[in-house]
Amino acid sequence: MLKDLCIPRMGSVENARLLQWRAAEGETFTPGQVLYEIETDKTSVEVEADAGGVLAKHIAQAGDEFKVGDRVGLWVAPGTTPTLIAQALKGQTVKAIADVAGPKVVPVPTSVAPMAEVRPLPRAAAGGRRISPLARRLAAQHAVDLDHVAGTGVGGKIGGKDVLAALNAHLLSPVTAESAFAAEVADGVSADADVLLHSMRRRAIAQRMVQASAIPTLTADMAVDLTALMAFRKSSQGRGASVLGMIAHAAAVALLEHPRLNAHWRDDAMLQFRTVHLGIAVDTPEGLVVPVVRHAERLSALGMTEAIAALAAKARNGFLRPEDLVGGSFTISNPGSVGPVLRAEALLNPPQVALLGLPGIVHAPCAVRDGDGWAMAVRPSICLSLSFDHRALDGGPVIAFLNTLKSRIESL
Amino acid sequence: MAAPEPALLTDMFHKMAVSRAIELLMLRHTREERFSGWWHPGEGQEAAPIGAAAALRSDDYLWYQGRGCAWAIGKGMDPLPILGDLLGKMNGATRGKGGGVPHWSDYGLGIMGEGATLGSVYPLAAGSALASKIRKDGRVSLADFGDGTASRGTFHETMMHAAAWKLPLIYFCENNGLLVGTRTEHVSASADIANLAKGYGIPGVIVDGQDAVAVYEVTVEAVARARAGEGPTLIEAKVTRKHGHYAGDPQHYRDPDYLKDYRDPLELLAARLSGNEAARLIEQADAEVAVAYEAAKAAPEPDASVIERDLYHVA
Amino acid sequence: MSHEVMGYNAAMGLGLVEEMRADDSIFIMGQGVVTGGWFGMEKGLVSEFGTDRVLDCGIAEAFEAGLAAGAAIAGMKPVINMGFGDFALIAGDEIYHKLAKWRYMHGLDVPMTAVIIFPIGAMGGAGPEHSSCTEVLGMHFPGLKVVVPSTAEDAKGLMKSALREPNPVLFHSVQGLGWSRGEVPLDPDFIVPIGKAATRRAGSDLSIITYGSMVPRSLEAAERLASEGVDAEVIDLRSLVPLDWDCVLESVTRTHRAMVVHEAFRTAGPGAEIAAQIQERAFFDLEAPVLRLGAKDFPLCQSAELEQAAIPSVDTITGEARRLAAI
Ligand SMILES: Cc1ncc(C[n+]2csc(CCOP(=O)(O)OP(=O)(O)O)c2C)c(N)n1
Ligand SMILES: [Mg+2]
Repeated sequence: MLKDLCIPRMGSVENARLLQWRAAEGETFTPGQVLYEIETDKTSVEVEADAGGVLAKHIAQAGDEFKVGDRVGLWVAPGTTPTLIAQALKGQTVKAIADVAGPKVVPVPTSVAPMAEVRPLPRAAAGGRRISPLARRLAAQHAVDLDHVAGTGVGGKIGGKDVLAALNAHLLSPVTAESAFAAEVADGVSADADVLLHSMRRRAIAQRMVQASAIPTLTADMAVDLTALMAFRKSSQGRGASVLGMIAHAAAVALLEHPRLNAHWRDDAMLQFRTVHLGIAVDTPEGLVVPVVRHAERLSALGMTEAIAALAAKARNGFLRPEDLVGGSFTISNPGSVGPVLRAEALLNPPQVALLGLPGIVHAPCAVRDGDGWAMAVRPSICLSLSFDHRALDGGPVIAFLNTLKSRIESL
Repeated sequence: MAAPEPALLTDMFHKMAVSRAIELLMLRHTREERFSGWWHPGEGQEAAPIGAAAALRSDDYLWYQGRGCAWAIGKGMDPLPILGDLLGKMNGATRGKGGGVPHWSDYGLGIMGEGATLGSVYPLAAGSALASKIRKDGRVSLADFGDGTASRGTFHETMMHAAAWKLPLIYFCENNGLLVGTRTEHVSASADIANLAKGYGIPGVIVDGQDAVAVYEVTVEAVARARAGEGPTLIEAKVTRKHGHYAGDPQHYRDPDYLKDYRDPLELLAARLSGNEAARLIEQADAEVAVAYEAAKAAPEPDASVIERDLYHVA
Repeated sequence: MSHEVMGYNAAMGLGLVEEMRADDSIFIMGQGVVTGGWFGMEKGLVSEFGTDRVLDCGIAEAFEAGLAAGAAIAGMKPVINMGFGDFALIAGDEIYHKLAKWRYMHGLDVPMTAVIIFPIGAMGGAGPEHSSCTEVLGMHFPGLKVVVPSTAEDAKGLMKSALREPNPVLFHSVQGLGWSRGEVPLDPDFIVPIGKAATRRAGSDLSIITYGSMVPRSLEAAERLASEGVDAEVIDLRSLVPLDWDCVLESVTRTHRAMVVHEAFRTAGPGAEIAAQIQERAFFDLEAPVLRLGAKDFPLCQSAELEQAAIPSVDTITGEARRLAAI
């Protein structure tokens, strides 16, 4: 019944000092009424009540210093009698007020949203661990990645407080070089810059990229004529298939012939797969994700097109499930779909050992056979980039794979 | 005996003719048109309700059982709210809730309503009778029921107390000898329900229920007793159920001799009127009912918001 | 105004007396009420109000409840003491059809005041047919209001509200609390509104939602839990129809754990509805399933010891709460 009254978040402000209370203990306040005044490093601010209630207790006194999110007082629902408040405070003296000196916690509202508006994370997001409904909702509401949440309940169950703890750890992480820089920027060194705190996903991507960049990676490029492919797309068999779908289909089949590229690197061994689980890199507003098409070798070009479209839609709408993102044996990255880039070299998706990059399709003049001689022609073509882990593979098998792929695409 | 004044005879006949017109109309309507519910026809059994209701004041409480419509008409209700209800329209007495099983009421006319779990009228009528006794308002309560309903335990529970407390209560039994298809003799050792009165120490009166005037006369006496604080009376009107239990009842159980002695209450009452008054009143009643039927048909149907009405009263 | 310490039944009687003084359309009927009532609630009524308004009757529960309906429709304000909640089943038609539905099925939006008193629950050896908790029936049939006071103060305040309520009220007095005592306001204007729960103990770890005989037991369990570091909130519903969902949901969204405790049978008891609605309306505020604690699903034995063994005790409430806090 007692609710916390906390120093609100105000832009980049971190520290505040209580100047004075404007509402007395036991006073009933209305929404919008000024409760107390604080001074920050930049200015002084009157803090208003979000909702109506009764002020139960001043925890902080004028002059006390706080961080954003700290609790300065306690309040209760309107109409609560003084006897009940006193009773509630009795319980609190032992438990919570003593806590003030302990870890600082950003309060997160947990009010009931109408059911229709609640979009909790799927249970699977907890990766097989037990998770409470509350934790599912809070994690979705605050975009907390459950991979970063430790479950402290019985049997490792993730509860609401675990999600909040992860969120708080994130919001209140110790001052790093970057955040010092961000503070500097916000402080007016460069007044026209916006400070965009990293999302949990961005942090995860960054971590993986640093990991991938440590792998000795080479890239081999090979130009492929797409005339046949374009013609196939217009045939009754190929109608509806996308260029990506067709190339991915050709790659999946080629990988069965060249299993060394369809593999994971482990320090002790190579894990070479007999089936192809094809990762497709998808650009979303929150960052890059790589959902996996299962058993890609079983799909036709059209089937592949549909599978990719379905995964991409899931990714863009935020409906990917954790199991959609794991278990890939090979990855295709398709920056050409965003713009006509010339090369599509990429960092690997470890522990996979190879990645196919598709740049833009170009219409380029090229020499074509003309009887016994050569003639100039303009043909649609693409320059495939195959990045590979040089620990696992040498150039030979990679070029052999590219040759197979090229001839498959050109003879569709 | 208090014979009815000519003006009252005219009024009774008019009401019986209106009831009859509605009864005939409903027999046709349930046969030929959509009807939600079960119509329990009262055609041919109108004399008892009309005669008894004529003996009541408009502020006396009537708790009826749902065969036909003559009790409501006798107590002063217009045809329109009755027909509106029967057709399930917004201008029915229940304002759209439906009256295919009748639930019409008008507290201003002392028409308190029907409990379709038969036998519920006994304690309810005792409740209004006790209210009158406490308030000393001189009102009488009448509980109407069929012979089949005389078996209910509440019959006994209620009359035992009502007789002891001398409540202004009349038990009015319409004995047509049938409980759906079961004959009264099968469930009662006595063919006369009125016999039961003896055990409670109250008068039990048997009357020809096809004769409205005879019913009127015995009811006037029972009402007088009740108002005088002398307690309850049990009236048993011997009546004839001309039709099936409900409209459309195949009546396989029907004894071919049952209707042998049937006498039409309208004809019996017409004999007491002068000249062609009866014919004139029937014509008038038919016209009134035809107008009400058209108005009921034209009235709006309820929408689902009716479901959420009238559950709790907000002061 | 001052307070006086008095028994639960006496407080209920005081509420009735005060209202009878103010409104002469109120009368009371029941078995033995003229001689003070079986449990002492009606003591002294007849000498003040006479036999016109204080009526003894025979063993005729359907008649009693039906008479209440008829009198209420006719504008009186009857109070019927049914003696035992079990007898609701004898008067089922009169209560759940006539009192609950009469106005509705006749399309009447009019006031109808009637109070049916049902003493419910174990009282120490009354046996399986005199100890039933029948309050759930009033929740199931629309058209009635249902209250169950747990303190002497509420017994008075709810009785007064019931007599000012323009709808029939099933007033469940708790047999197990009949002789419990408490401070009762003497102010004749004091009432306890129908439909408002009371937070008897504030807490932050879990919500015990209860009423009637289980309120004092839940409070005792909460004290034990506090010594183990579990801070339980105890909500006394007081009214089951209408039920104070705002209070329940506000509490559950704070504590994220809830259990319903009642003396009524567990299966399809009031707790089933309450637990179902909590999970329907606040599922994503829950850390754990909503638990229910009620009487064992067997008829209550006549033996006073076995009777107590069949209904939730401070021990079982504490144990279940402990289990809930750990989920
Ligand atoms: C308590 C109850 N039991 C059974 C019924 C079903 N029912 C409706 S009418 C009827 C027959 C009633 O017989 P009687 O009271 O003699 O009236 P009548 O139909 O002859 O007018 C029955 C059994 C009912 N409505 N209520
Ligand atoms: Mg009959």
